[in-house]
Amino acid sequence: MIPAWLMQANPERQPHADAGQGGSKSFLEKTIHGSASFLEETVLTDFYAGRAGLLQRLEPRCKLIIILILIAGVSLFRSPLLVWGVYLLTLIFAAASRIEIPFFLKRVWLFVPIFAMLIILPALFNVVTPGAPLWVVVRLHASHTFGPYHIPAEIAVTQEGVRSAFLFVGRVAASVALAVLLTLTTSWHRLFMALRGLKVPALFVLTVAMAYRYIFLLVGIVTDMHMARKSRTIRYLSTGGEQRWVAGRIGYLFRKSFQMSQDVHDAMLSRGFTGEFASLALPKPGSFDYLCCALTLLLCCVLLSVDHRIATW
Amino acid sequence: MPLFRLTDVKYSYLKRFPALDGVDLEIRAGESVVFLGANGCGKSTMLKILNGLIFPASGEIRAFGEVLDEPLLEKNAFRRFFRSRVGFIFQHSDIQLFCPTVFEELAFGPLQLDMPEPEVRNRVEELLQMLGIEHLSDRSPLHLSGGEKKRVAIASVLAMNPEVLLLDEPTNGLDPRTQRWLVDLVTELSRAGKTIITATHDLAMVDEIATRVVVISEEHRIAAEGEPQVILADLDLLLRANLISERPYAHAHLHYPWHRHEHSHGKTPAFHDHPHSVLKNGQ
Repeated sequence: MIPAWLMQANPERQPHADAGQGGSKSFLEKTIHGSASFLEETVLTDFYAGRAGLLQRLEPRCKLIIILILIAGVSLFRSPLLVWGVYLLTLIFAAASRIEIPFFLKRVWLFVPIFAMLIILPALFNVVTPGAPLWVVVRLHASHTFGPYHIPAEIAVTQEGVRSAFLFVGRVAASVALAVLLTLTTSWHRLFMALRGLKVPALFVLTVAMAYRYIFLLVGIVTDMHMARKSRTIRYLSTGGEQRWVAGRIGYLFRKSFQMSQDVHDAMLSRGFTGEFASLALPKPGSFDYLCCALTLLLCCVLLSVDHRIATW
Repeated sequence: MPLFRLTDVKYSYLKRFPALDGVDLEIRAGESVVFLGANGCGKSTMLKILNGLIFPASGEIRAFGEVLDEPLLEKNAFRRFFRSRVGFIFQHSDIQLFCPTVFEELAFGPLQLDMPEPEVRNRVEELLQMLGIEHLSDRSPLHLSGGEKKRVAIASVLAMNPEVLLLDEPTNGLDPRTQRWLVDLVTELSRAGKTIITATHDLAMVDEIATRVVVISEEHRIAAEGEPQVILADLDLLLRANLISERPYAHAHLHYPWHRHEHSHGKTPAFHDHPHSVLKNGQ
């Protein structure tokens, strides 16, 4: 039988749309938006990988080798000019692979190189990197020595400091740009196959591939949970209350993923999995792929010898 | 004034995959509306828009006479009013249940409404009794069966005494007895004056719970709307909307209510049987 209160209308009156204070964006909203943009970015990556461009044409194993050769080169070069030259090359590759340059720049520069700049900032000064001063920032009365540390009377940005900062940020930017190029122009499925093709242990590749697949499922669950909570949120709880809710949900998600991993394993066993993962063979690379690999290797060797000459000048 | 008015509402997931494409619709107080459509046609999206969980990419939704958008729902007074009036029962009960015990789960909503604790306790106990789940009171929602979870999820929303109930695929994954219970409950709540909006592709429940049916096409638009008897009798429409198949599997016809309508049996039992020939002749 339906209780009497459920048969009666809610006595609260409708407020005017302009009435009341606006609350700040809650963690519910932020999480929902965060999950949506994560999914959106992934879809965008698949979209770029499907375009007809230079890097998309390359066989994934060869592409992975090319990128690894270039990353190795970038970390071996001692000349900032060459490092930044490789970074410029990534921009050309991006354009040839039909990736919009502003989008590519944003992807590359958003986090990692900015943090790299922060890390390298102290190395600009003669406190960390001694050398010829370029610009005096602070003049002290006298120099000071604290144990192994020496603070000169003139704290200045040095030529050597600028050079090493330029080299460090360039290495990070070029390496990140190369990695971004790889992931933007190769679907994850093909990337995992390429790893397998390069003799990375099958179990490792399988684990990473499955983790990637189930991240989406779990992100979907997280979004739904937050939507369900939003649907019942009349007012936000105290910070402690909200933290308890989030902790509870993390616990739930942990249980759910644990249970899911058991189910997935059972499903694999029922289809004949014995611990050895067999996969389909990748199509063989063509002459274009071999040519690109050889050219990259040649380019890196030439640049290394140029780098050596610049260093011994 | 309608409770909800949607004008040329469009929505796409991840800005790429359309879910609703130019929907115009009005829902009045006390109606029991069923959104019928195949998987992926946009039924659940429609419910989320009606609940202010997502907002149209273009077009407008008005709820209780106001344009329902993010800034309005961020206002504490309107959010309190709206959330206490519109309850959403999600397809997967698991995601909806987050308190340590069933009792606390049911008390969550009323406590947020600042109701005095004795009243909350009374309300929860009455609901537990009404839904036949008193024995689950101290259990964790995590360890309940699918049917029990669904009952708790419904109770947790009813505890706020909403005017409007949104149900997303409510009979999915439930055993026949729980499905029957759910249909009876929805009918009873509808008689009690609640506005019920259900998204489903389960034709078996439509004529029992709906006063109006809105068919959503696979092109994410409203293909038809009208009385359940009229909609369910239009086999071409149901075929076009991918709600029935030209070649149903062996005994699927036993479950199709339009089969019953062909014979004007009215409120026959849910699993009333007919020979194949009757269906073929369309009598």
